[in-house]
Amino acid sequence: MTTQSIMTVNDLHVHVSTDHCQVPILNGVSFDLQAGKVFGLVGESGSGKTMTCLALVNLLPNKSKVVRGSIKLKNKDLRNLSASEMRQIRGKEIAMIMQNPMSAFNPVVTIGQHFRETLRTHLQVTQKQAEEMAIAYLELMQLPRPDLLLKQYPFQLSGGMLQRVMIAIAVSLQPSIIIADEPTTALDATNQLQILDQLNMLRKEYNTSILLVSHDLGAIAYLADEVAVMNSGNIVERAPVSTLFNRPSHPYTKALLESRLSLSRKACETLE
Amino acid sequence: MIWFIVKRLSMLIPILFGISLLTFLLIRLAPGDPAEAYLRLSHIPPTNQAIQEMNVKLGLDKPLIVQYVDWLGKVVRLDFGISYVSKQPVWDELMLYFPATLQLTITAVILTVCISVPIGIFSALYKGGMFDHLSRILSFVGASMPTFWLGFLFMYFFSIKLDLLPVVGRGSLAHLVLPSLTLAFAYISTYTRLLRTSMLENLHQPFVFYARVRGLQERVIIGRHVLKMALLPVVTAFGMTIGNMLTGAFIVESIFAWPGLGRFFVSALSHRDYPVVQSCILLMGVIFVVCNLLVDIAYGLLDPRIRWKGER
Repeated sequence: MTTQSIMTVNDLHVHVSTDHCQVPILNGVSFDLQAGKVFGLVGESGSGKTMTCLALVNLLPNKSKVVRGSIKLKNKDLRNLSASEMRQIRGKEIAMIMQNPMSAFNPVVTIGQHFRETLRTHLQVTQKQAEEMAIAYLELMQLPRPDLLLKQYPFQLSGGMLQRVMIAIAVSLQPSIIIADEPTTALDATNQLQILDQLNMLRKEYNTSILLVSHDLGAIAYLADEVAVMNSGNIVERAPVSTLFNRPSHPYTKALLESRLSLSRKACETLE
Repeated sequence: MIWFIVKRLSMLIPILFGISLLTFLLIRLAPGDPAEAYLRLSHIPPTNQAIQEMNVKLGLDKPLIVQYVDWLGKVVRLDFGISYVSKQPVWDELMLYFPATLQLTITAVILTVCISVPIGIFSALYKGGMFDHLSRILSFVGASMPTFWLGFLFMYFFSIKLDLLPVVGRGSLAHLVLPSLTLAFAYISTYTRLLRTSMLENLHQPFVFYARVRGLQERVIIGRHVLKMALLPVVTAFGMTIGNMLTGAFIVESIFAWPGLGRFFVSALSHRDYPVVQSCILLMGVIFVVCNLLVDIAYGLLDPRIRWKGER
């Protein structure tokens, strides 16, 4: 089976300027995302995972910017696009699922409004058509009573439901890439598994490429095809998921794998 | 939503009752004998006997509780009694002066909204820029200048020096400009700053980032998402402002010789004209409460979290 490369990130450098100097945040990050594949990005907090995601959609925080490297989406370098061209790519070509669904939605705007405005920004559809599409995608995510859901406000839904709504919004425009930045961190264990299963279903159905960012090694092992380990702005190791978990080569990867909580480890500590 | 409004309306009854009681008692705590004042105004020498007769005639000899119930019974039928000074029904007099005050206040409210909302939004969007600094200076000046001084300054420059607008009185639309601007000025400053702060607080919320992630246009993000959140504290404060403006109008009315309720009230107060004073205070109280009710309802419409509280 041949894999089709959707996005190629090459030698990405991001700096944050402070009052005195420029601090490098990413030092030459390179990877590529393939259609229908899940690329996992792991690393401790502050290793640059989220900054990598933000650089891809050109939404880096103030004072930080890409200083070198290229981000190519289907042979189009995103760094050369104007702000308005980039805006049209966000949501339509590259969708993102945020870490904390409870705060991502505007508390005084209905779910339906969130959904419709996203669709109508990128597609020429009427309110009615947008509503029908929204219901169809909410059904796909197995959410009960989608018609009622659209009239509700974010605070009336649970975190798990909101995360599913967010995924429904993300896939509704059938993007080539979905960036999932810690999609399960804010959820309880049963919801985590369901969300991961649904992401897995979607990438098969729409042949979407998923960039899964997580410090949850379990989630990565469950879903990813290929994994990159990040440490202080560098990718220190990149390997297929089974290789990385069974035969880690870089010492940092080994340390990261050993830091996992497990039953055997607790047993060891109790014995000591 | 209907349930929410009904609940708020039912809370109105005890509040109105309280206002009427306070109004009634407060005026009786004030020094001065109304019977004596009445006699003097009618050019009758206030002998002891005449005062006693007048007390009986005005019902002031009865116990307070009886006086209150009598008064309240009439008030609910919109009978506010007869003015001691003009011997006219108070209701008729109120309706003569109140529209002028209302016109002034409503114009000031409209000015406040139309000026402070755009300035607030733009100084938040271009924080630290030229426009933001200008609006900061304007707000500082507006908030620290007393109304009476500002009124005279306006009058001096626009009416006397530049001869653009009439100095005092009520009549054409031109007469309305200076008084309403004087009244609105301090509130424009306050609301510009309030909205600016509130906008800045909301500009960096995660929901704004999520809106950008979805590729929404910046004007949709600001107009729909940020502004809707930023207006919530502004609306809350506005309820109190409308009431304050009505009382603030009293000062502005005396500067610009505006024939409103303020001047009527002040003269009634100095004459110990009980029925008029009571009715004015009661009217203000009712307006205050109704404004707050309207703001509550507006808040419920804007913020679904309030609407659903206790209903889920």
